[in-house]
Amino acid sequence: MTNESADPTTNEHVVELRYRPNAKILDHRGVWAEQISEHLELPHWQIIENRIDIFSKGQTEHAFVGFRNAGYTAADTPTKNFFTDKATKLFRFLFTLDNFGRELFVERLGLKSKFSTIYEGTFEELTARFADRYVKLSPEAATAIGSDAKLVDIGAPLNFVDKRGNFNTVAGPMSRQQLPTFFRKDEGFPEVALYYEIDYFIKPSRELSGKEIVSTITAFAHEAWSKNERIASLVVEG
Amino acid sequence: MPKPPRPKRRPEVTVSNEPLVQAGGTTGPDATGESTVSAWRDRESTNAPVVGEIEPSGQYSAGYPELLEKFLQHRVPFSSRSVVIIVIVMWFAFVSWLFVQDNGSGVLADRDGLEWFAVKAGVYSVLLVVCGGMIAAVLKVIAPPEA
Repeated sequence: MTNESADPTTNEHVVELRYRPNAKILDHRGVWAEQISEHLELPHWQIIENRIDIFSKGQTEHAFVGFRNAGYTAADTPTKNFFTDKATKLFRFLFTLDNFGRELFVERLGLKSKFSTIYEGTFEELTARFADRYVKLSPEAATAIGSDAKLVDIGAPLNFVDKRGNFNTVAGPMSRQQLPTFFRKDEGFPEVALYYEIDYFIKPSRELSGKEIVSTITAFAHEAWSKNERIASLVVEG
Repeated sequence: MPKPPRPKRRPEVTVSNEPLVQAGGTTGPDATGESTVSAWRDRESTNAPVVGEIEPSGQYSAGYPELLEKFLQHRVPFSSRSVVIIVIVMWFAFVSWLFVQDNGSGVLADRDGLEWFAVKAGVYSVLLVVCGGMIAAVLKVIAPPEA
């Protein structure tokens, strides 16, 4: 497959809210499945013993509500706001439902975004750019490894914390054969791409209101997208 | 970027005399086949279930310490901030009681008595701070690691 037939955007996003188990959710599975399906305009739903799944055809969008976690996933979103709007729509709706709770004891709230940015050159060129612009070996490290060693592949799992929360990142050049490992789809990938994954999360272990949860999701989603844009611009372009 | 193996959602147990096929890399007999990158990625991760996938149920407590921790998390309604406020209020109440007792018995009639009261209150306060610091240090040590 050439880059001409590759999908212009490849991304996946998931937001997951983990809370103290709420058994009452199990009493409302049927009603909530229909209501969420109608509200999010996702035509399909499935109920299993402790969770409801509501999803689109092809499962490019998937909302789930269980007795201890709830969330939303989307793949290949066209704009920066698409995932945020849908995810916050889900959670705003959930907080209007009786027995879901106006406040939740949140154990963890996380948002993971994965991006693949097309690179028109070769894998070796992207590896060199990544090693030069994103994660650079010091001269001493290069000497320690050996002056006759040649870098053929590179990956960078880096974990950070900022005012919004912790965020774990994984980045690196990727070939078309490797990309399906990281995404749910199996085709539509370019020959060479920069992979960037960022998982923003907080573990408050306290009660959070719906408003706090929605604002946190919005902040995480926007910052994840912005970081990918800046890093892709740094490594791939210029 | 090195290709890590797909992360598994549930542990698989197999017993076989077939040769174990590793995902890649040189490994020893006890290796699980997970790469360093996979360990980094799976350590703390936001995940979504697959549609229709039944997730494994939570584990029971392995022992008394874990059971006690679960009990405290689910039964004790106070946050750590509330506990600190309550302790401070109780400290004020105790020092006030001490003051009332000493005043009632005439100890605070002169300067020496007041100084002795101040020393007593100071000693009790230092003890409280030391105990609080030790408890906080222990809680920090035994707290589950963040990602």
